[in-house]
Amino acid sequence: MTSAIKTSNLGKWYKKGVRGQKIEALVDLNLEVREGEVFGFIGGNGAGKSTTIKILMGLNRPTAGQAFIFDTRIDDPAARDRVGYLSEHPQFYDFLTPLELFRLMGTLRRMEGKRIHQRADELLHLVALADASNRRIKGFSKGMVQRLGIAVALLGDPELLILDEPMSGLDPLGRHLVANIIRELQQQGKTIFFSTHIIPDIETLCDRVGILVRGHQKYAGSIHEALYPQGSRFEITVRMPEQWKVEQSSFARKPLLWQKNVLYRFEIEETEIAATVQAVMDQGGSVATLEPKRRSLEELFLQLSEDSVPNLGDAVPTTVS
Amino acid sequence: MHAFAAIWAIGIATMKGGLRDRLIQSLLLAGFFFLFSTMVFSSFSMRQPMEVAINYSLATVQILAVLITLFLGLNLLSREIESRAGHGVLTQPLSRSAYVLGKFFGLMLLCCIVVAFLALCAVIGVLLVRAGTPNAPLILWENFGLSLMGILLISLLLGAASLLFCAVATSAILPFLATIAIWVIGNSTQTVKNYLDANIADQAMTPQLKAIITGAYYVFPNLSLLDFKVYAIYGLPLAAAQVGFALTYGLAYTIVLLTLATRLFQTRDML
Ligand SMILES: Nc1ncnc2c1ncn2[C@@H]1O[C@H](COP(=O)(O)OP(=O)(O)O)[C@@H](O)[C@H]1O
Ligand SMILES: [Mg+2]
Repeated sequence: MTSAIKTSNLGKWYKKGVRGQKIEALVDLNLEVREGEVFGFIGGNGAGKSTTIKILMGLNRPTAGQAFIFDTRIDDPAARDRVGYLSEHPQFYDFLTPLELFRLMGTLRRMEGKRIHQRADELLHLVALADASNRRIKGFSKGMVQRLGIAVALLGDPELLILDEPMSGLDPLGRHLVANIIRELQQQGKTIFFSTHIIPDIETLCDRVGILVRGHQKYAGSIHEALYPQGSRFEITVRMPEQWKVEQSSFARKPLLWQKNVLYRFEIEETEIAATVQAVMDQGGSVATLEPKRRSLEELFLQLSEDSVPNLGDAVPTTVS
Repeated sequence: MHAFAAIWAIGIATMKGGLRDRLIQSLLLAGFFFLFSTMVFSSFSMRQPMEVAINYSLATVQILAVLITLFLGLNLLSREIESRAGHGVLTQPLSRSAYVLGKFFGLMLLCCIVVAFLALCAVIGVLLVRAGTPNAPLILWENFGLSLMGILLISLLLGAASLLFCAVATSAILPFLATIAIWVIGNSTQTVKNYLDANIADQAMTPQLKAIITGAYYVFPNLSLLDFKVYAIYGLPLAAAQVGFALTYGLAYTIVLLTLATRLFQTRDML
């Protein structure tokens, strides 16, 4: 099976300052995004997400390794035939109107004039810019430009979407719109690769994630395995009779939360689940919720960053320029 | 085939950008007023109003065409790279060369429009002066036209130079300043060359220095070769060979700059 995106030992360093100081932005990235999946590319500021995406889009040239989009080497412009791209800070020719912009972009994608108009119409409605279709982009707000960027990315009905932080800079409503568009596209069988540092979106949208820490990929795989590691603890919330006291319980250690002496929440091991549930029922209580204890992504980041102590300072200049 | 469509589309968009630019519009408007003031201006010169009118109008066209080219380079090339507005186009399936050539094509269209507009104003201005001058000498229109052609070529050459500087620069202002420098140097190389060819130079400088300056003469464009104003002003005869050489020189220099720009743009990182 062909993969939508594949990189082998992709690397990038930048030269900065007059002394040509090297900044390693990306080191030995081996990434594979399968066709039809939603892949979240996670990392803090300066982790190298945009660098990776710019290399994939042909905006920056890698200093090491190689990358392919649908098996076409990225230095061939044809690699971008089936790709739609949304930049982190979308900027377009602001002297054009959205319709003129679509005509330009559509022509560059070898689309027919009629098809361009039809798509422009659909997409401007989708991103709620239909009223502004003949206004110069110069007067658009930041959010409008971001939404226009989404429409431009979708213009050619591409099989792969590469979105750099599509949620940042949007209000909750805009974020909801983007999340819905991503879900819709996934239903249509498209592949979506997006970078983000906004945690809540990831879990609901992504099939798999890659985590980047200072240019090094520290994790690639299912988001659930990352956030709910094997053998992790569980949180149980139980409803107990009013006269029940924590001290008399055989199962409860320190409750994490209790409410009006009725609801209690404890942390337990996976192996203790059966016994705990039994004990609760024996003492006249009932189980309200039982869920694996979720690592926060921040915790995960922290852990992954600590693992990378030998690499610390990779993306940090050694001298002040 | 697709490359041509892409170059065309980018060129047309660039042209729209230029024509919608406030600064460019203002400069064109200024040209309109300056060139129609030819009549007033040349009437100060009682003895040779025609010479003054042609000189004044061609000089005005020249300076405005160069100014507009410089600002087109700044607003449509350097700023586009600095502001990342070009990323939208660059991330479509087209080569970097197609992008560079498309930008140049747009610039070329704009230079043609600008020079044609200014030329029209200049011609009308000169005709008005002639109508008001008794016993006006004959105007050598072909030399007038060749002067305009030379101005257009200088604009194209400067446009290609600014594209070349944009291909390597990471800020918008550097290519702008570098293009101004090319214009200034390009206008003085002939003077320097004449000095070198004269015998007095041998006494004033060492052979090494002379070699360096001669080298620089051949590296930098000699824009005075493309300046036919005097021939139009005084109605002097122009040899076909001289014109042919100058036009070939201007075109060849532009093509070399453009080829270099395309090459250098190939490997650069966008911001
Ligand atoms: N053009 C550039 N020149 C120099 N350094 C850069 C350039 N672009 C990015 N970097 C550096 O590379 C690292 C990764 O940046 P980036 O890919 O933008 O991270 P992210 O998108 O994950 O926030 C950072 O340390 C950043 O400062
Ligand atoms: Mg980024």
